[in-house]
Amino acid sequence: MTINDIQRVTTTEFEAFIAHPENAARRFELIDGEIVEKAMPTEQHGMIEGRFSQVLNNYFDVHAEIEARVVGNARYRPTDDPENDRLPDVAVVLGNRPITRRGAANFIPHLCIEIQSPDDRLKTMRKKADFYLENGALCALVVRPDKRTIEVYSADDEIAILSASDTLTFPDLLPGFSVSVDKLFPPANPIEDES
Amino acid sequence: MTQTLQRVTTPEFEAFIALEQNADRRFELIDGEIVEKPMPSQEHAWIESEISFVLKLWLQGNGSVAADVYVESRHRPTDDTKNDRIPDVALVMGRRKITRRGAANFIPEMCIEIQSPDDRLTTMRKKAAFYLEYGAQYALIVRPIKRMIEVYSADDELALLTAADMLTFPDLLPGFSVAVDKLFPPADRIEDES
Repeated sequence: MTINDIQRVTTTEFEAFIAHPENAARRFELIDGEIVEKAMPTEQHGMIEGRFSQVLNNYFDVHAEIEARVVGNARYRPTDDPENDRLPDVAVVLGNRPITRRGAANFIPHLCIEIQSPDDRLKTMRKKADFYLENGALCALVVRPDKRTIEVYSADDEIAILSASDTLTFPDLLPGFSVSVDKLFPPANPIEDES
Repeated sequence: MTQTLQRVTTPEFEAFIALEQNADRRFELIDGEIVEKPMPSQEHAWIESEISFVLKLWLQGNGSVAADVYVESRHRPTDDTKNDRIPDVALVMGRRKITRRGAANFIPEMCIEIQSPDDRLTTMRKKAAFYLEYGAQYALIVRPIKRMIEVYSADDELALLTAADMLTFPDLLPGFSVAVDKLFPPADRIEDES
């Protein structure tokens, strides 16, 4: 069974598909009924993911009064949505919901972060951001390593484009959180040149 | 009336807008759904008129660039039976034939949408994405309240221009440049809503 054999599937079929032994080491999302393979993370992608988790976890360590968790690459689907199963690169879940041990969590995290891989189309990533916001996220980030910018989409329909010299904050979501955008990206020099 | 109609195709849409009671109203067909376009406020019309004016003025002075400016004209992608759209302002490159009746069968190179008080940004951004998907090079969302413009381009770039920025289209209209602030009425002339 390959991706192309399947047209529109529901979450039940998706579960069966990802449970196949040949798919064990791969990452898939279900996007409006379509199975889409997620690119394997590059080193650059993994570093940025790591930095986001680090600064967010640091924040929650300091602000122990805020109940929340930082989650990397976990499966989420909106409650009662049989056509979607998503893997935000980094997610913040506020509150003390029980932690899902098997399958997808039945909600969308409050903050969803997507980091662009070399082959990711921005259009597709922005649609993901919209999807998160439409289904309960308060904020969604599209992180663009090549430009060293972050697009911040909020539930009130606002957009901000932060460049390396800006500071990323979430005044409503994470009061007091603040990190320089530049610090979320690996230093420019040691990045391997693609050309 | 819009609520009762479910999904229709362009022939049904044509019949619907031809109804006598719809004569003075403006409708779009959005993925098979008939959606009424809000009647333009004075502020909306001011901006629409200013944008078409600066574009026309520039084109007059730059005869080597062939293009036409349209206000509220109907466009649908070739062979698309589920869409019929009315960008507030459109720039059509070249010297295409001008449609006399019905919708033009293409999407303009530049489509500009001006936000009305009740327009949701998410809906407007979906319109911008639609224009780009069907051939537009640029799609603009003009936001009077914030005095800013979101510029979406076919290469997937997004620029957020504020009043202090300049609006340019280097590949489409080389040399064209206008201050974003000038495209909005002076702030002190706008009636206070509160």
